[in-house]
Amino acid sequence: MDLAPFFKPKTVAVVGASRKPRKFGHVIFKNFVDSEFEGKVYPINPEAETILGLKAYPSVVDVPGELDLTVIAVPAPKVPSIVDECLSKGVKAAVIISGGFKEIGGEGAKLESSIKEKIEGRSLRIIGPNCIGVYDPVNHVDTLFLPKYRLRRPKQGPIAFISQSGAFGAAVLDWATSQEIGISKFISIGNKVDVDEVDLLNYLADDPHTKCVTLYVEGIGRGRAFLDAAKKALKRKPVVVLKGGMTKAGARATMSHTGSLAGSAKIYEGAFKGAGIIAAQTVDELFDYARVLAYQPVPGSQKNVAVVTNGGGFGVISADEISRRGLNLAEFHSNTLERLRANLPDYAIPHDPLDLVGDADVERYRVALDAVSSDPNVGIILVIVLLQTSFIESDVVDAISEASLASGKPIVVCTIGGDFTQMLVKMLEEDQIPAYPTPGRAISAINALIQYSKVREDITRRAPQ
Amino acid sequence: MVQNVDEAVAKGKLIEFPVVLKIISPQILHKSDVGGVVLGIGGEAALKEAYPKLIAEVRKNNPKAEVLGVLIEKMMPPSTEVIVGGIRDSQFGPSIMFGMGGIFTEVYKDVAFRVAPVDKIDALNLIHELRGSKILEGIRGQPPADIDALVDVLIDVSSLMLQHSAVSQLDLNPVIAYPDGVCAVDTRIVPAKNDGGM
Repeated sequence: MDLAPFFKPKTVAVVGASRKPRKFGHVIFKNFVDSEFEGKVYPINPEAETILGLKAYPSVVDVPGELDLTVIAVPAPKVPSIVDECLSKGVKAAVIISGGFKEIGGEGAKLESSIKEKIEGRSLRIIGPNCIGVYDPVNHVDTLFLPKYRLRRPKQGPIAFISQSGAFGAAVLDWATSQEIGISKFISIGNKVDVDEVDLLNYLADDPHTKCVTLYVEGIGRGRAFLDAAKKALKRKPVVVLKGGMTKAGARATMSHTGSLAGSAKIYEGAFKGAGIIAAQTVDELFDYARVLAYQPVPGSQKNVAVVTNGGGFGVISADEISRRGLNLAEFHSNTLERLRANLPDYAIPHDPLDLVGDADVERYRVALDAVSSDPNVGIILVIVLLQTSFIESDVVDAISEASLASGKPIVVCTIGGDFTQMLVKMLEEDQIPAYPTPGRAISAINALIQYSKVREDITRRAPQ
Repeated sequence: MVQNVDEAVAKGKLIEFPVVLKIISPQILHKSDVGGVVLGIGGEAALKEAYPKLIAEVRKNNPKAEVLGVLIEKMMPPSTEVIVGGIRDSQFGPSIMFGMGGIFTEVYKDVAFRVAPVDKIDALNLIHELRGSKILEGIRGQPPADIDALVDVLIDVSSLMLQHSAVSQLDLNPVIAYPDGVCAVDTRIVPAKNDGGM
């Protein structure tokens, strides 16, 4: 079934919209009222005449006309009857924010089962319960009950983010906003009474605003369906997964050698690799990988890395990291060497890593990036730019962006520092050049990009000739 | 499978020495742990000596085991050993494992998995994922192993796990990889109802 009503609703009802500003229902309702959301939004509250100046309705069934999306933020015991009303109204999609279901067991689990039974075979789709729902900056859908002064909303960007955990999702969104990282869609899936990561992966595969899908999941309910959905999505875009609970040793039989070696982490690793999913081990990696995958082109058959730096130490560490991960430094073509010798000062030795030396200015970066990025022996470029020297100004961002556009080769940046550096990191982010604070994280991101390019090559090799 | 030393000698001459003896008993899952495997028996005399010793050793280590007989097989020349396995994962269903044999599996856990089905590309990726795959490519002047034959084994085990739900777990351990062909010299199949809950 189509999930579009969650993301592109023309009409939205908020059940539990309250006059009290701290209530979840109030925050959610206000999100729609205050935003550029172009559809109609209706507060549902049997005890109120109006909320934020809009006429309140006692129930969704009283709302005139069709209802695409209903956001439910009332205590768990009231939810099943609201679902009944949604069904009789013909609501297409509902987000159940409320907690107090399967996650508490007992009565809560019974309530959740009753909801599952009610929607069985019906067209109503449900996200949640026990979630923070949907944030879609494209269509200004925002069911997050956390006020904007606490959880800032990221701008629109190419990364979709599905999180099983609402709190983790909220924290990441707030952080992403501070880093100028854009989001195409955010979905917190909670207890997954209906819509799960498989449905969303299938939907996001076709979403024109999403260039990379990221997921944080703890349990994957439908393992094989998930792998199939990932494989399908990977024909269009990369999928990065952070799987929580990997180290929990599965209680496995030891009748066979294979069984005794099959820890859950090992199986997940193999399952993800087989499907072409990029596995992130840490929260950092999830977005480190997503940014390079969403922003930068995949390398062609040439995957050797050129490092251009104004700090010798970071160049050396990068070379170590490249070798540690089984990647290769580029050997510059003779034309490149000639160009570098002619244009760089004598004390800058033209080999990879290319140390432009501490007094490098933006012009020197421009010359070096131009030569290196057009070298056929170079597939990927890591630009290290340490901004503590007074020789470099912020137009180094333009030099890097121009080299990226002119060469069509992937470029990532490594830079670390205080306020000035952070400002440039954001400018780079704006130009879709991912920057990382350490050589290790930059090379790790490059490694993920190479991994994805190999996935793409396998897909091409499998395509019918 | 043979039942006594005379049958063993006759069979040994037929399949040509050197040969291997393996105990067959439903109670013995790990044969070498109870002294139930004798390798590299070079001729008739050695076989006559090895057979009763094997039986005695097994009786001593596991007196309750019901011995159905002794398997006599040709001793395969040594080469790189790998392990190929199949399991049914609770989350992903039929899956296969590939690992470098011996200490690489025991100590370094140099094994990797794929969810079935696997095709040729998957199988090659799986093989190259192992840290020890360089050994298969040929190191220290050794010729490379027959990677195509290994790929075929992986694809076949993947198909077997998909098609035969009666098989819960499968070990081909070790599979000896030669420059021309591979040979599974021991096999263990755990049927679906005897899988210890997998």
